[in-house]
Amino acid sequence: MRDIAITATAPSLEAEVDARFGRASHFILISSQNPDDWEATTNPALSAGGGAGVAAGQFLASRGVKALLTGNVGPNAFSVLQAAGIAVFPVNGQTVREAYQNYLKNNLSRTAQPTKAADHLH
Amino acid sequence: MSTGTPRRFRITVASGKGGTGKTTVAIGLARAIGETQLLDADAEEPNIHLFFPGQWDKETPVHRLVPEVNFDRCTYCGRCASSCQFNALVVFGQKLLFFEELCHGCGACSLVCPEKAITEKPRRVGVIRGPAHWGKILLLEARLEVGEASGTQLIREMKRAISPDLPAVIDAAPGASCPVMEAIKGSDYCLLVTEPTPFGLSDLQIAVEAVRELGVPLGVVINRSSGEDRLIEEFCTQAGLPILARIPFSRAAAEAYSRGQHPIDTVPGFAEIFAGLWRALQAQLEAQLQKEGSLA
Repeated sequence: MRDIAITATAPSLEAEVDARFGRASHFILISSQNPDDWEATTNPALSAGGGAGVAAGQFLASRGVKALLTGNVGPNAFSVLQAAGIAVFPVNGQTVREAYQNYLKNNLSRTAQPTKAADHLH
Repeated sequence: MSTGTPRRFRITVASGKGGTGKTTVAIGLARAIGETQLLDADAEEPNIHLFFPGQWDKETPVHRLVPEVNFDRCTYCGRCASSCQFNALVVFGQKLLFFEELCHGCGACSLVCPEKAITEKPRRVGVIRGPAHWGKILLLEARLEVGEASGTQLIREMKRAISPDLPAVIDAAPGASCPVMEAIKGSDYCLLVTEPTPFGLSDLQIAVEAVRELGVPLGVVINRSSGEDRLIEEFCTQAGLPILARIPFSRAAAEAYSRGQHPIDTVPGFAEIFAGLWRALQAQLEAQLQKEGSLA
């Protein structure tokens, strides 16, 4: 089960973690049990006019993700992730591989609330 | 008013940068026109009322429709969420989440629900105040409810109240956001008010690009002019934009304004400046009519 999601600026484990969630360019979905079991996908919410965080959260929920490693999560995305039981771990200035390893070593702390305010649509 | 100018024209006064003088120009222009409607379309912070000494006798509330889910009937099938173009609904497992600020009130969710579990409830967005009489001016104001995210719908509602028998001047919000585009859409002319500074120029360029998308003819008014406004003039020449008026920098005008007095009433020379703006605008409107006539 690829139960960890990591936002990425490119479809590679060596890419920088994308600081955005809803508008992240890619997601790396990787198994917490096996580092070789992973895939990269472009973010299906990228084309959303609004509510990209909501759409991205729904996407991860549909893939059975249990933990998300990313830079920032806004309030709407956070509600979706929380309802889906997905734990959020903010990371900063790391590659996907580094963030994954830090997660496994319990070096990351889970956040209990959104890390940024909502974006304005109109 | 010369015989060539159409009676029912609609002008929007907008800007890129905020604080350039839209309201000053909108009120001044309305005064120069004489019998006209004046609409405050800066729904988040209407300010024409600060100059209006009279009473608002009429206030009309405006509502949007928001879905309400009856969880006794909901089977979490997710059809509502799939139908939502705005990601305002999320359904997974036995959970349904609704994000009200993303909702555009389109009603698709309540239409597609197979269990008829969604009904639409009205939610107050704001009010339209007026029309109120201010000398020869008929004043209308869009006032957004605190906590509402967007004035666009409110401005659209206010435009429906425009009488076809009189001209209309619309004072837009600053910038190039959706409420501003709504205030400009459908107008016969758009005046962009700018100041002769690098910030003024930079935001003017953005506004010009946005308004050109709407296909509304454009002209520029330079406020707080020093007489030498090369930055703006060079851009206008290059972009093919007419400069319809230059309002000189005047400390007296700023002081009057801060007391809720329009400079047209308190500073010598300003009445003539706005009369000049009105003449220049009429010439533009007539030229537009000629152009449309020759294309017909």
